[in-house]
Amino acid sequence: MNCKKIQELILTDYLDQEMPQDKQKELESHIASCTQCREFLALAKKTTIESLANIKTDNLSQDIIWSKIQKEIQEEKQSLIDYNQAPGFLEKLKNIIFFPKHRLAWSTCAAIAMLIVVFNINHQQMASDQNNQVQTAVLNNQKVIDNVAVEVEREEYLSYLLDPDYDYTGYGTSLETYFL
Amino acid sequence: MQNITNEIINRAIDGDERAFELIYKAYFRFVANVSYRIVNKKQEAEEVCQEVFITIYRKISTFRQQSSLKTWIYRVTINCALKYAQKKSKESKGMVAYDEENPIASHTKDVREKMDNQSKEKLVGKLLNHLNVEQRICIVLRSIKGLSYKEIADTLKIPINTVRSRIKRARESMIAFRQEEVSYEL
Repeated sequence: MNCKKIQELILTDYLDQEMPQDKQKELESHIASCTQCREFLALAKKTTIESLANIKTDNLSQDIIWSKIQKEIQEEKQSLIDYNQAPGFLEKLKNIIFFPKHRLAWSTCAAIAMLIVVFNINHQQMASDQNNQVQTAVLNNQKVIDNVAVEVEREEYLSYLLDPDYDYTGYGTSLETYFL
Repeated sequence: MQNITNEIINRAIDGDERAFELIYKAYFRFVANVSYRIVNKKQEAEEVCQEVFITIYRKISTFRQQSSLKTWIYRVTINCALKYAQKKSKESKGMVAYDEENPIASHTKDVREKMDNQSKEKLVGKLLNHLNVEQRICIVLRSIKGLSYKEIADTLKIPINTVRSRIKRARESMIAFRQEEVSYEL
């Protein structure tokens, strides 16, 4: 085994006593004859094993933490009780639909009836408005038609006047012819 | 430490709070020490301890006794401490800082002993603070709690060689850090 491998084993299996006995003897035999590995072992032992050995860590209070845990458990139990006692969804729905209080029932019916009436009125008003709109549209269309007819007549008259074969000296009606 | 029998475990599974208290007292020291060494601050270690035992209380009914109670509690402790340390590490964007205000062995009478303990505690804090969380967990379980590589592997659900590798890297870091400190002091 070379020194690099030996030092890896020192850092792991050897210091943690996880080596099989035959391998351990082989390693110790190398260490005995190698100054570098011997010094490395001393350094590793001091820094990584001895510094962490026998340290006191009794900072935390067992009783204080236990009382906090008990409190949290009690709160959880209480919230579970509250949840189980609360009415379920079906129960809440039943209470809304099949309410026992007459006043509430009558006022709800009255509200529904009023809604129906208001809806009908609105519906009729909308129908009436629609009729008016149709009539207005018809009248507007008629006006347009009349205007078009007038324009056509004017155009015909103008083209009649501009006709080269037309005798402007004529007087049109027989009465005019009689007086003139 | 009270020996926790199967009968006590079964009573705790059935919701017996007295049985749960016995389990708490039996494992408190282990949970407290590991939590404290991983998160490195007293107040946070208390919170982790509380969370560990609340988790045990809630989930003991699912404990199937396929592994030992000890391994299961170790696992819950590591998971809670790890989650906490990672959360704090993200918040502080780096290593968990060593808490210099920890009162250490304040009940010892000998002043020199007290000072020795304090300086030792400070050194331990610095050495562990220098490691990442995964390395720190392996070193704490091995060097402070004395778990074997197999026990550590079972607790963390990782291969033994991964345990070995993390311990090796952790110790290399500790040696490098210590040598740097010593040369700085000189």
